[in-house]
Amino acid sequence: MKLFQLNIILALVVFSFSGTGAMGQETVPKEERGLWVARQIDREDEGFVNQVSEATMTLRNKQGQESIRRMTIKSLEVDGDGDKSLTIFSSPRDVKGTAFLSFTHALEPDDQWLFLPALKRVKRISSNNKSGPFMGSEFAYEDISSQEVEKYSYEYIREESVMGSEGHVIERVPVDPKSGYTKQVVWVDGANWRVGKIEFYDRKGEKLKTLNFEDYKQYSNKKWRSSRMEMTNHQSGKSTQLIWSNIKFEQDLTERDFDQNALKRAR
Amino acid sequence: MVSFQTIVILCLVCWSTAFSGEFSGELSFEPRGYFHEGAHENSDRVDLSIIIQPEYVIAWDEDRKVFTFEPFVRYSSLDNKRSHVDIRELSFLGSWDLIELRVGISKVFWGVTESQHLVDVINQTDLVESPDGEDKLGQPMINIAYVNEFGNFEIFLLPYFRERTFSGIDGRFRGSPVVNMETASYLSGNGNNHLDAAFRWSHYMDELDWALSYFEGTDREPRLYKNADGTTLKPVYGQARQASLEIQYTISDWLLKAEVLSKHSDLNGNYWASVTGFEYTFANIHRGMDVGFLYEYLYDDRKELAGSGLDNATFLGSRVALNDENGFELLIGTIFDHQTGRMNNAFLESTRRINENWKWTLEGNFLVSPRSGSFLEQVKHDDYLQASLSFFW
Repeated sequence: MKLFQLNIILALVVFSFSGTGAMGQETVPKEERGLWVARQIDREDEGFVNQVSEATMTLRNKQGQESIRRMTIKSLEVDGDGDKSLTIFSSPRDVKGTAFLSFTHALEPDDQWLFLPALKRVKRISSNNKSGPFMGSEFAYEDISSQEVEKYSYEYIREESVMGSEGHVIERVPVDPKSGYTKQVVWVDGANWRVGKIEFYDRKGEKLKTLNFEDYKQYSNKKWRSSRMEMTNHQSGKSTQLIWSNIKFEQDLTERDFDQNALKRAR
Repeated sequence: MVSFQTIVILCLVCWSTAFSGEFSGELSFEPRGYFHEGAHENSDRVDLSIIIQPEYVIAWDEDRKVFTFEPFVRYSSLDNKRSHVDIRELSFLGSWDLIELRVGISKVFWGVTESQHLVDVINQTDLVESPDGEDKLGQPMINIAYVNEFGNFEIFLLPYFRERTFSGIDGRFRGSPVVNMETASYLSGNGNNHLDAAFRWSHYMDELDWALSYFEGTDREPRLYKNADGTTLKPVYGQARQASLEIQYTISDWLLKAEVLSKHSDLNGNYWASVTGFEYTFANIHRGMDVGFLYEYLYDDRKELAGSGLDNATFLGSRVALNDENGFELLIGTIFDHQTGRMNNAFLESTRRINENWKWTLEGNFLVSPRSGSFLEQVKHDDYLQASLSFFW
């Protein structure tokens, strides 16, 4: 009997929780609905603590020639601020051992340092060049840096099916005038708040790139991660595939693994 | 009874299974052509060099413990003193909570500026590698760092001194007569075993990075005296104390930089020197291309006595990075001497990747009209162009 009651209570709790999503959306005024979607994406990602993964980028030019970039990326969730990340390159071989440390902030410029292994030199670099290409790829620095809600203003476009469930299409406009984009259109699934696709519009307002997120997997901490991202540049005909492997969460990492000393030790 | 051999094999097996080491490195072919015959009977104009720099790294405990072995070999067809071997790195680097420890032969870089590394004192310059002084010899050290919210506090103990390398009789970038490294002498009674020490505090706040350092020990910069026979020079190493400051302010597309050094040396007395300047980058101006401009003003209180011809000089440079898949980069620069009102020298450096493992580099140094009496004047016939091909694995 007691068990039965508990089940009912649980069922009610679960029901009311799952209800907030749909309820929330209806109660949100239309002009704030874009921001609301962005907040859901952000909230869904909260509590990942830290993540270590390996990334392989395959750059393809118009003629189909390929070149490869390999790196290990460690990131750390920071309470009340943007994430910290450490990227260590292993390929191409001439940049092996080069490491990049970034402290993202919501509205302030990010703090970034580069370690140059030949000189054993740590160099503070400007984070202003966010629109520039990352390692010669079709990903700009701003595409791969931590996506803080405050970095954009939002507008809700329409409901649309995304990855097989009811989803949303929103438009976001970068707050920073140094961004290479006038706007981005983002497709999000409404069940798990996974981003399915982003279209990027250049400073002239023309469609520049499309990023597709494929092969989502759910990890033990309930977080969803795409295993394959395809970025296509419509203007240059080039594309970059980004494959994620060995994704691990909640590793034994602290702030000390994300400082300038760690940058010098990085392998 | 277990034989010694068995123990060794067991240890090796344990070692290789417990740690996954990584073997990588670089092999370069470096042909260099000089435009003129040298000024000091060093008339050969071609130097064919081969450089091998393998690296073996074992890292464990989330990269908090790293063992590195990195020997270096150069063969030069021109100068048997430029042909040399060094251990760049043979060290253990470990991190425990707030402490970092480095023991062994290693390399440490201090500084923020580009044209001159004024405050970079831990490692001796491997001068035969490059006249710009950017290449360094491995330095035996114990380095302890304590890290907290007030920054990075480091102590360096440097038990063995490395002598600066100098070109031989057929080599370039030398004055006359040639330096005989075998006749090196020290003002300290301990010779090259004087225990040198340094302390450094580095930190950052928002866009500002800074470091304050103090060094006491054998002066990395020798003075050259004529040997009794009059045909060679003798490097003499005194003792020195120096304090230095580095600052970089990184604001939007600007990097504002300063290095200031105050030094007392047995052989040069008290003096101070500075490098101040900026780097401005026009980022992503066309298809990802960055174009940067560099300006640095070099000052040395010793004036002419500095001997470098850089005691009142301006460095102007430009850096172009295409940020394409081949990572093409070009750096050109020139140094103006304010005392003579003329250009000392100009240089260029350009690299481009060929594929995953190969890369070429083009490098040139052109001496225009260096001040009379300066070191650059002695090497003014040593303009060169070098095209090297490197294999990385």
